[in-house]
Amino acid sequence: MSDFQLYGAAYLALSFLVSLWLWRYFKKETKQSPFVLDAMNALHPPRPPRRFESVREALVMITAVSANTVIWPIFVGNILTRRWLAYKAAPTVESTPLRERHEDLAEARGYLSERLSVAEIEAREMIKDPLSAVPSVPFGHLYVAWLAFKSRHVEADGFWAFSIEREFGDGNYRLAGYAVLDGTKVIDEFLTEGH
Amino acid sequence: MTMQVPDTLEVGGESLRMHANPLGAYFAMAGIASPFYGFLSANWRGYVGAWAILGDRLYLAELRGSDQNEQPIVLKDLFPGYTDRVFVHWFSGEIRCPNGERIQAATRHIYRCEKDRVFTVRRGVVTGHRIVHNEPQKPIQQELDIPKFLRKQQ
Repeated sequence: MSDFQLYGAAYLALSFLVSLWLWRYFKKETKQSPFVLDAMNALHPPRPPRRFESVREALVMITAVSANTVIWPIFVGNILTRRWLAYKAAPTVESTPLRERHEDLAEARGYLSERLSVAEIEAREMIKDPLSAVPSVPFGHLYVAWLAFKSRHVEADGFWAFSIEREFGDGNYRLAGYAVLDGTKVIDEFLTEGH
Repeated sequence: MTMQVPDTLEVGGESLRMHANPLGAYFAMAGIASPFYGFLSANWRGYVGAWAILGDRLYLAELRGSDQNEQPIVLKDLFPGYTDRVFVHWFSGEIRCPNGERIQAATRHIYRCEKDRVFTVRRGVVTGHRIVHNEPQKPIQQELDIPKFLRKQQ
C-alpha cells in the first residue's frame, strides 16, 4: 500500500468518526424539552409522509455523508470556535451569590426577564373575560396544568418570566411563559404563548 | 394528503374557513393528550370547531368530535361548566381565513382563495386584522417531478 493510499484510508476513517461525532453533537444541540416539543408539534402538526419520502431522506443522508467526508474540518472548526466564544462569554458564577448569578444569567441569556414569586405570577396571570367564558383562577383554562407545574417545584428553585422571539421562515415565532431554574440551568417551563 | 375539513370562524355575521389550530395549542400547553380520534383521512384532528370573534376576543363556541370508541365529545366535556363558549386566552398567532373565489394553489392540498383575511391574536385578544391578496400559483416543481401515471387524479 502506497503512502497516498494509507493517508487516504486514514482520512476516510477519520471522516467516518467525525461524522458519528457530528451526528451525536447535532442531535444533542437540537434536543428540546418534551413540553416545548409537544407545543411545536401542536402548532405545526406532523403530516403523513409524502410520496418517495424515504427515498428522498436516503438521498439526503447519502449526500450529507459524502459532503461531510470532504468538508468536515470546516464543521469541526466552526463548532470549536463557537464553543470557545461561548466559554469566553460565560459569566464567572462560582464566587457570586445565587441571586446575582441569576441576574448575570438573565443578562447573558437574554430571554429570562425577571424572577418572580409564585404569588406574583398568579396575581399577574388572573384572566378576566366580559362574557365569563373563563374561570376566575390564575391561567384560566390552564389552571390545572399550572397546579401540576407548580407542584413539581419549590419556590426556592427560582421562577423566571421568559420570552423568546426569533425569526422563523417568513415570519417570527414567539414563546413566552415561566421557566424554573436549577442553579444556572432551565429545568422546566410553563408556556403562556407559543406561536 | 387529503385536504382537511377546516374549523369555522364566525366574525361580524360571516362564517369563514379557518386555517389555524388553537385547540392543538391548548392540548400542548395544558400538557394533555387530545381525546379526539380521527376516523377520516379528511379530518385527522378528529373534531370540527366553531370559533367566533366577539368584540375583540376569540372564543370557541362549539366543538364536535368523537373519541376512539366513537363516543361524542362536545365543548362541555373538554371544558366542564362551559356550554356556550370558552375564551381562547391560550392562543397567540395568526388565523388565516381564505375568502372569495378559489384560485389555483401551488399544491392541490392547499385551499387558496383570491384573498386571505388574517387575524392576529395575542393571548385570545385580536390585536390586528389585514387582508392579503393572492395570485394564482403554478404547481411546484416537486409535484411536476412525479411521473404523470403516479399523480393522484384531481
